[in-house]
Amino acid sequence: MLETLRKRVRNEQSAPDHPAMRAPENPWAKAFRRMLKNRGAALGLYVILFFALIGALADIVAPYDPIKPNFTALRQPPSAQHLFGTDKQGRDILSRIIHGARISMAVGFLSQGLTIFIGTVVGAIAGYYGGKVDTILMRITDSLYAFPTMLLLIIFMAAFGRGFINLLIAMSIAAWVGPARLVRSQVLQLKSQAFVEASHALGAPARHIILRHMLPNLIGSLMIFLSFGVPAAIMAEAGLSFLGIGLVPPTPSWGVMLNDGFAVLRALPHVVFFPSLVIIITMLAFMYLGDGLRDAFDPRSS
Amino acid sequence: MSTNSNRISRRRLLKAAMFTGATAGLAACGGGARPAAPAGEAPPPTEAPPAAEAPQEAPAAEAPARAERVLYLNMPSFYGDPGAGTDPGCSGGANTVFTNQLMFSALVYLNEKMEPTPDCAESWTPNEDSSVWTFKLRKDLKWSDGTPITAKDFEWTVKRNVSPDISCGGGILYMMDIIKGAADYAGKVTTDPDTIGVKALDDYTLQFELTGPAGFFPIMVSYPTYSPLPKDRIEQYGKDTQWTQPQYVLSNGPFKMTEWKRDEYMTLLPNEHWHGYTEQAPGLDKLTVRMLKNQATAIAAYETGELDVIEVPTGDLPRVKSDPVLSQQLITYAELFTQYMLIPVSAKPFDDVRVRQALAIAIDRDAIADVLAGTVTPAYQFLPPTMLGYDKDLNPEMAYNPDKARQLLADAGFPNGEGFPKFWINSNHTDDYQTMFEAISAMYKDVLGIEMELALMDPGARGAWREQEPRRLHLWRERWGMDFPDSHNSMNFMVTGRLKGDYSKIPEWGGYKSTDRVAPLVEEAARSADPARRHELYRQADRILTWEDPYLIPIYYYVANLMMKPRVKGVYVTGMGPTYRRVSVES
Amino acid sequence: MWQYIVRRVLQAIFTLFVLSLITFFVAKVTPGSPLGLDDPENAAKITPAMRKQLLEQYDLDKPVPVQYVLWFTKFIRGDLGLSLTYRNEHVQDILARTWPISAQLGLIAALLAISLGTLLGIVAAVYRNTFIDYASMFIAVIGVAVPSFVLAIGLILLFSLTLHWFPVTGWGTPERMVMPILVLMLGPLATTARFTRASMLEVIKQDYVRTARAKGLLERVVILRHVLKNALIPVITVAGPTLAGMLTGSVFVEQIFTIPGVANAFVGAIGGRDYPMIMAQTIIFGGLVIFMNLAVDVAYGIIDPRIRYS
Repeated sequence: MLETLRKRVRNEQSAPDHPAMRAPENPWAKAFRRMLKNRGAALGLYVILFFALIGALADIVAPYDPIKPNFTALRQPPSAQHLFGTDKQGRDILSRIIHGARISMAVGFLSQGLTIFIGTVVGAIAGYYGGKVDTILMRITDSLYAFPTMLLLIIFMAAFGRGFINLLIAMSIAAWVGPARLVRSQVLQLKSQAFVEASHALGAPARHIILRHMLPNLIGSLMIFLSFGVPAAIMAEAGLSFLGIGLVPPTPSWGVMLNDGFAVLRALPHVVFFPSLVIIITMLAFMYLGDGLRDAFDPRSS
Repeated sequence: MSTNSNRISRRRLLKAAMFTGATAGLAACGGGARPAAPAGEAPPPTEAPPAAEAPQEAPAAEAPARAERVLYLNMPSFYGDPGAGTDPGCSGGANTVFTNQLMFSALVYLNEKMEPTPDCAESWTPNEDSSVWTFKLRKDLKWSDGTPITAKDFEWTVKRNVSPDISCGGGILYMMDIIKGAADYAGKVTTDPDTIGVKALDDYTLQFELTGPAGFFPIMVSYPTYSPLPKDRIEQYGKDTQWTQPQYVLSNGPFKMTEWKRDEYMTLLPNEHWHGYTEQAPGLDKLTVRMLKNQATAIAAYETGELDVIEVPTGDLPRVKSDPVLSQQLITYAELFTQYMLIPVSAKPFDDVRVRQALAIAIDRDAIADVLAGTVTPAYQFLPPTMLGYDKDLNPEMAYNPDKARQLLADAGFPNGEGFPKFWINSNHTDDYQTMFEAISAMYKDVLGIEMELALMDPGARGAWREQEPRRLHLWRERWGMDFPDSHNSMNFMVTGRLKGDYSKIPEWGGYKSTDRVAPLVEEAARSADPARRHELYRQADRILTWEDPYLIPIYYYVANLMMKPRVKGVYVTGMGPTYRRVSVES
Repeated sequence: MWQYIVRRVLQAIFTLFVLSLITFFVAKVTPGSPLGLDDPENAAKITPAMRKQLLEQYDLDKPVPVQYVLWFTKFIRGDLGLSLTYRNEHVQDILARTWPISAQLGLIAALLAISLGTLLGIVAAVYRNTFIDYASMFIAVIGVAVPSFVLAIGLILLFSLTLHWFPVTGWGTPERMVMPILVLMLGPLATTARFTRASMLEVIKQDYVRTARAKGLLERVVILRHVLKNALIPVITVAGPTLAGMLTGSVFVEQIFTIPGVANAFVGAIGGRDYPMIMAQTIIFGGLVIFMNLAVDVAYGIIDPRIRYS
């Protein structure tokens, strides 16, 4: 298993170079290559890819069933059979963490994908059309922006009920304001630039201008947003599930595991220790990756 | 009390509770094993700071002022209806019973053997068929402000408690409808309170006229709704539950409330006007009831000395049992408390008796007890051990039997679970419920090949979930903790609260075919004076409900695991929980 | 500038109005009902007649828009209503006992986080690429990467249950305040430190700093006079929201350490469908954040005269 992972990592490592060599003018690839030169960022990326990979292959990689209780292996400390021990229902912690990687990554990327989608649409419309549309949309974003995100999430989770899809929707509704404001301000900036004005004068439709001229210029900012948004979403899932209002147990999410573990903090410390560790590692990985991305896309640096 | 008895909150409500109510709680600790005054509370004038701050090694005898003896209990929340405050007339909600028993004395109390023992009443006598009961009251009964209490106060209180106008709307009617005329008055059939069968014959004699013979009535009047309540205060401050606030409340029990910080703590002082006070001086100066909802936090607080008594969370029990010090502080006892699942008896495919029986015997109850680490014992019937009608050989067929279960399901037309619709189990979300239903769901899948999905939610959402379209086929988790130790309590609830209650009006849940068999058995048992006969009647009723035509699937009985600091004395536990009337602490 | 402030305040009021609308309708579509009406373990107690009476008493039987108007008219008269969970308590009273606690916790933690974070960032920048820098940034990295609930669990395990230094629960006396403050401040401290360091390094690169150095000024003077002043301006932009965020209480800190503050009350209000409570807190939280943002913008203009209000 490790061998294939290593190979996979090596492939990932070399992959970005090829398109970059073929198309050196592509600013994306350039930024990406620059980022990979940053050791911390590269390591962060590999860690994230590693979690994504084991998450994707969880059914194959995980040694045990993550959900089914095992009455013959209740409450075991870490051992050769169960590297991270078992919980009070006899479930293998390692297997649950592996399946949890899938859920955390899915929550992180899907929710932020949705967030960025909603945010970009709203921000682009507000910025491009301006006027009343802009005012109305921005009042709504201001209202949501003025409210602590965690509390907003709690309201929405109460309204929708717990569950994976509901969590994604709640997170997107609570967070789309960020990218919307970002996109709006950038669109406002771009609108006055010559190439956009020219395109407008030539009678290009709004959709065309937004999609072809403005969006590509927004990618950098959105990538950076993603690198901060995804870990925030993973953390929020863990937090909400820890409070008992995120995902429905026995879903093996890291937050649900923390929740399980906190209840047996003294008796079975390993139940809370390993998911905590994995969450911290993930957060570190995203942080270094995010820093690297920001430096790479920031034209002032290097 | 309804399905939530005072145990509900002590049970692992935590995760759900974190969401159901404002968590709060104050605890205190001097940084070591010794509790200090709760935070935010000004030190009472009686407390001599030098003594409180005195180093442990200083001999207590030499201290000019004795250190204050404070007992720290925990009460996780006002479950169900926090608005009911501490009103004994609304004593349905969980912890109100707990505080009611600290603050109020009823006609009788239950001793170590759960026998009715004189409290406000000195003695009681029935008429020849036990349908009229006469209680002789003590002559030294007083409110906590020193004013006397007479039989008139009891009469007024009973009439007030069954009135439809009190803040919980006659909520504990099922504890009182055995009194003649009570149900009609509560149901507004009549507005004349004098039609209710309670009367003060003189200042110290109280007479109850019941709907029929009831030999268990003296046990029933141990419940807090049979405590006297301060008429003047209620008439003056009765709007909602304002009168239960510390500045207005008067009580007649071992303790009086002097302070109540919502969600934080409640301060109780020994009541010098309590009739038991003169017999024996109290062994403590103050009782602080904290409200820590999270059980993991509560046990940590116990271990750091911030609490004196807690209920041990399931996950910690194995550790506590193997710890040489903590295991000595553990008190384990069986509670009169049954956990079960109600079945939608009229919904396909659950209308088939074989399906219900298959569900009942596909559960490996020993394994569940293992997972819940000794906080429960398997239940194979509704009534708990020691109660009339309990018989360990009542349902021999109900033992875990995968082959038989598969066979029954196949006979009902679902070989290997094929074609069986997916269904849900609706429950509050607590740690232990989650654990239990994950296990049961896995058993159903393994043994029967059917899918049971968990619908765990906060209690306030359960009703809405049930009503939501499209309707979902589901089992309903419920539990019953006894309000007084007589099988009438449980069985009467099952008949009037369930078989003939609200549930009977829901299409999938009503239409239980054996109602007409169960109800007469329960009625006859209530009226009978012969214990052997009553036992047999309850036995039959229970067997119909749990096996012959299953209406519910019993899962387990609760086993309580309290931890109590050695410095706490004078507390006894019964199947009803701990009793603190004569509690004392060493400083 | 006054014109600018007045316009922003008017905008803020409108924003809060929109926020109250959103919250009210989201809260209303949330399944479940207040007063324990939908709680099955409670339902046996409530007769249909009683239910009707309660709904009428609290205006819950009216259409949702009417309920909003009723709430709104009461609100502008300064009446926040009765709590639906604690029926004899006014929302004002509940807020009066929960706010001081959260504000105290938040204020101490925010002040510590901002001051220590700034200090850490400055030190790291001045001694960049030395051991001091790495150590400071290690603390900052941990602060960002460790979720508060994980940190809280760790601290309880170490300081309460193993070392017996601090109690697990509550608020009010110094030893009870240490752990919650630590947990609450570490994240913002880390963010502030990283931000300050980056800002410092940015300024150090600038021409005027090089000029100052070239003039032969002492390094200390260069840092204090030229770098610090300019580097700290952007830090203010993070300090404002940090303060606002911390004043609104931390759900995790208050839940784990059972602190009877606003965040706990808010979670409880949602669980109990306590609409008056939810609404009052929404307005306060929103108002606080908006006010902080405005304060930052104004402060920014005072410190940096290049900024013009428009």
